[in-house]
Amino acid sequence: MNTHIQCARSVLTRVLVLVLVFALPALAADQHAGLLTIIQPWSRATPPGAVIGAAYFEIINAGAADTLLRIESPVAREVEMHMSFVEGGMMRMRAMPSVKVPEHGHLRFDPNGMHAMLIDLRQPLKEGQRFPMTLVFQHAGRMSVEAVVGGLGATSAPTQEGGAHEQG
Amino acid sequence: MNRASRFPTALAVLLGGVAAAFAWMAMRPTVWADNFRLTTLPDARTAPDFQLTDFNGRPRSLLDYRGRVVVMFFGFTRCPNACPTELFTLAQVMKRLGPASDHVQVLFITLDPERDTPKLLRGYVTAFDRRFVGLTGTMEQIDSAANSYHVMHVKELIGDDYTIGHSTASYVLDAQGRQRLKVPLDATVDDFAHDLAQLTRGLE
Repeated sequence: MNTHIQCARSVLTRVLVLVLVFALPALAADQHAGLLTIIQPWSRATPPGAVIGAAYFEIINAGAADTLLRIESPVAREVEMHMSFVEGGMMRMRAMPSVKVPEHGHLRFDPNGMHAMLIDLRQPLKEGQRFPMTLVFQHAGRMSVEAVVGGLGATSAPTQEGGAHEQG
Repeated sequence: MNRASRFPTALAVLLGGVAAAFAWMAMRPTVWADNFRLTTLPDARTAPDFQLTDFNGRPRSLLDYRGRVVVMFFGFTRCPNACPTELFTLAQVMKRLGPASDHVQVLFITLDPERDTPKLLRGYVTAFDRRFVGLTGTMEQIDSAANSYHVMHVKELIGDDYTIGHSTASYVLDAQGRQRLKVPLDATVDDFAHDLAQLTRGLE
């Protein structure tokens, strides 16, 4: 009797899992937001007087392709998406009007490539501070995250548990 | 030719040889004796001088820093990645050097004198290390300083603003004002500190 119930439960679980697996692609058509995950949004502290900051994050996309249209944040007058690249022996930058998020793929903003350029910071960014950032996607719509500010020369996201500590 | 006359000739040849050996050793640049990890500039030429102004408004030339190892980096304060990262690396290098860091002068030369006011430069560079100095000047003075170190820079429009593309290597001069090292942006704190320690050896 007991084993019978366990067996029935196990069958039910399998059926549910199967239903979910097959239903997901159908859901994807309508609920892009649920399939985009923004991980480790971070920035680095800025020296006094600096008017520019940069923020980074990674987007994991478990669904269809989408496009990142713009980024907003109250810490700056304006946020632009920029790409750093080395050309002719120089570190250069160009603006990206929008950025594709590949289907079932990921998109990384990091110090070696794309960054959210925080233009005309209202206040210097302080280590350990958190600030809101909204990413606006063509299909998924608006997604809000909280960026963590690392040390002055941080080159990667500060560790979550220990807060944002400068090395050395 | 008898024995008596041959002896002074042999002595002269011997003395000449010894003198030549000494001359060769004296002329041989001492840089060869060092063991650097970063890219060395083998001819160790005297670094071209510049005429700039520090963030306190004092006119500065390289001669002002003679006797110290000088690290020069060209950048601008609206630089999102390379400049803060490089200045932070240099701040860590200074910490790693300990007392020897007193013999090192880091100079941050702005490529954007239009927007980088002396006050802004002071706040910016000293946030990384209080001993760092920011230099500015007229665009001509800065161009001339950058050109003499083969530092390229270009003003480019971005959105409704402008940014500056620039070379990201730092240049290290020894206490005698000779160009010694060219350091890439991704040099480690370890390697940078190791090489600066070599150059500060024997400085009082």
